Amino acid sequence: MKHTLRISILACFALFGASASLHSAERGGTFNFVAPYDGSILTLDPHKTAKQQDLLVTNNIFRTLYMWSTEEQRPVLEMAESAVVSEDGLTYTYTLKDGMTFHNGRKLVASDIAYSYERMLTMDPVSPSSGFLQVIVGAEALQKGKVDHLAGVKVINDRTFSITLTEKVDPAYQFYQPGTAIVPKEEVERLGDKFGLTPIGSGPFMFKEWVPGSEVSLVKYPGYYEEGKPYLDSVAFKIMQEGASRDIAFRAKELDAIIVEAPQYSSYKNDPEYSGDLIEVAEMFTRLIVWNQKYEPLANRKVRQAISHAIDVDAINRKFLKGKAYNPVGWLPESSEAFDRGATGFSFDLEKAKLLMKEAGYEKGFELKILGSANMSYGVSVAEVIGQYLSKINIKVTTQQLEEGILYDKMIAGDFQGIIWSFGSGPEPLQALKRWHSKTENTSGNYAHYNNAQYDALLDQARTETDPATRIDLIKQADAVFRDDAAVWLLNYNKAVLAVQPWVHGLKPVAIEIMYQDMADVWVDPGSPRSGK
Amino acid sequence: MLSFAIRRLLQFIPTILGITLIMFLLLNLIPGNAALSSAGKLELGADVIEKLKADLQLDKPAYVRYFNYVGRLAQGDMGQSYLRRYDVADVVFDRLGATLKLAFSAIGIAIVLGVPLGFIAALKQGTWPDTLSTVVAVVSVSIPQFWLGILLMYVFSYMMHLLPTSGYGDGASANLVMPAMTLGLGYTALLARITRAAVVEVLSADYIRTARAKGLSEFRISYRHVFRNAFVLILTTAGLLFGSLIGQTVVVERVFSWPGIGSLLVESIFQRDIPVAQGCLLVIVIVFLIVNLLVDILYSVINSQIDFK
Repeated sequence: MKHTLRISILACFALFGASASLHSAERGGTFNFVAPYDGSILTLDPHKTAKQQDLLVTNNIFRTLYMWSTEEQRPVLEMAESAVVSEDGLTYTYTLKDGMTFHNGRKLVASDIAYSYERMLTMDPVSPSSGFLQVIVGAEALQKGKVDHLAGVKVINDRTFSITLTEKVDPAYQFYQPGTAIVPKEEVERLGDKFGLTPIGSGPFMFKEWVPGSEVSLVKYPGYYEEGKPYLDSVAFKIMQEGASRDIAFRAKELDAIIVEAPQYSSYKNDPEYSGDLIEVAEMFTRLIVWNQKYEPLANRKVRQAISHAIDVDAINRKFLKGKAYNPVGWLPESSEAFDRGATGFSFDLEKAKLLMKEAGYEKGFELKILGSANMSYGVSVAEVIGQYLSKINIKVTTQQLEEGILYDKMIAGDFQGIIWSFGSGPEPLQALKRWHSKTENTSGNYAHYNNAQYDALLDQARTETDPATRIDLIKQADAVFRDDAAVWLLNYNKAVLAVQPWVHGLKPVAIEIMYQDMADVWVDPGSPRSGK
Repeated sequence: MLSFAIRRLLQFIPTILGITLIMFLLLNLIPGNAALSSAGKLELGADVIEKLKADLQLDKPAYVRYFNYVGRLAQGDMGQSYLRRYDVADVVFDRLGATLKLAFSAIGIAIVLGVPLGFIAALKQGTWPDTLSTVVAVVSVSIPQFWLGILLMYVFSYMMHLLPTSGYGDGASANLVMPAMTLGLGYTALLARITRAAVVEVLSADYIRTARAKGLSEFRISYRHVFRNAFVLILTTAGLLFGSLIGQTVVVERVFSWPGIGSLLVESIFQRDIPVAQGCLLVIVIVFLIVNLLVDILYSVINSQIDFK
């Protein structure tokens, strides 16, 4: 399957659909994938981790109540065949799919959902994903130890249960999170802390072996509830942090697919052997410079707008980042359902920028320190380029490279003027924009101390709005307010890229995180050196 | 010799205690905390972060955490990983075998290649083997490990398809060859230069002149007098190199996805998983101490005139 895909989502699915019809899936074989992020896999207990490196593996061992659908660009029911919503929109009654079992052979029942959520809320140390369950009635009381069970989850019978929410939100966006996976109580209790080392879930693949720091191997679960799947016999996740090593391993055909980083992107894009097999997607991560609006010049809207006009963001993305980025418009990325396709970002207009600086009373400029990490795509090197542009409007930029943990500390403490960074900006658009609501605390993401009553009001209105179209329209308006305020300087939406061997089929442009591939859908044709044929 | 070994082992205790204090202070002075790191890309509410801090006992004063740590350590408990949430001992000892395998292989390569190279260079001073040895040593020590690793990978994996690019595999030698070569080559050069210097020094000693005057054969002089005396310095150097090598495997481990303790240490520091970082450092220190104790004991095997008193 040839996968040259730009982020026209509809076109992308048309391509996948056409391609799928040309092939019938082959069975068997091993798929060598990578776990490319920051270091070792820490644990395979999904409730104990929020690291993408861990969750990209656990996604295939466990299942969640909902799962992300690339086709629909939103989470859809996975473990339940139906969800009936009460009239007040607060209670969802789910009927589980028939025939679901854990890898130990035990039937998965409704009480497993209740147990899993209760476990997350009562764990010590607390589960990093427990925040996603706070929308359930009684979650807070359980987490604080005031009650001993989760009142909002009621088991009706083995296949039926209900979840009552504290407010009208779409539960799909909470319960699709990989950290909310369903686990079997008896195995958690039997294995204790070792559950994270030898996990047992209900996903398409069973845990086989983990060589810490090197590789995790999974094998097909024959009792998987989706008939005919998975196609592969086994999947190996090779832990490979180093981009150059991944590149050689992929070209030596030892790996079936790899994530492509900025330094390698242009070589793949220009390589006729692989350029046709790239999967590209605007991931729901927005790269930006957070302006601390407690720093006086940056509290001035005109100054921030002047900065946005003074920088040629398109040139930076095209030339400096070699095209591995999508130009920004607002906070919400192109893959968001509330992305405003009619809107445009700030134009590169130096004269206008100078005029705005003059109107703001900063014609003579000021000093600005931008902090950042060593990241090639959104680190200090980009800030240095930006500094060149800003010198034209008399802003003297200095940069400082710091380690990510220190940057986080500084962001939370508000001890910065500007920080170049990357934040999640999806998938749920209201949740994504809520980061910048004035009531959002620092630790939850409003590092800019952004405060705009109109923006807050639009989000508050969207939160209670029941009509989906009106809700989306309100969200778009809020995104426009944020954009026009130049509350942050937007660099780009991450263009996530997978390079794929020609014998691989079924990998998808997953906008929430391209490495969160559902390996149940993936198969390899006999061209693979590991096809088993 | 036994009393010497016991005395040295007892000296380990204050050394290790001192090291625990230094590393605890250093690791806890780093800004950032595990509560935030464990959240990954999630932005948690302040209450969740505070609860995480309390659960991980990060809300307690540093001296309380230190005494708790030392108290547990005295009972053989290295604590729990903040992020993995299971025993640090399991995390660290899972990786130690791979590191020792890599370090022994690398130092083995360094000894097997470096010592003869240095020896020949010293015996043939001023001739082309000496010049060649110097050139090889300078080149080897100058090549960055990252570059060499990628180059070896490109040649042996991509072009020749002889070796797997990376990973631990089943621990077989095929996976070990390139990481060990990459790590060992720089040390080969160091050892060659040190061997040359040691041998040159011994060759100019009075007792060598006396041995020659007595009419001993060059082979006998080289083996009985030069090698034995020079080897004390070579062995000391190799012992020290081995200790430092364990802490310097990070680049090679990262390039070849070799699951060793060096990369674990660096990751743990970046992730602020302090218990794991402490565990790694402690194990590295203990291995260093043991290796140097063994080196001291080996002196007497090589040269019986060395007195342990």
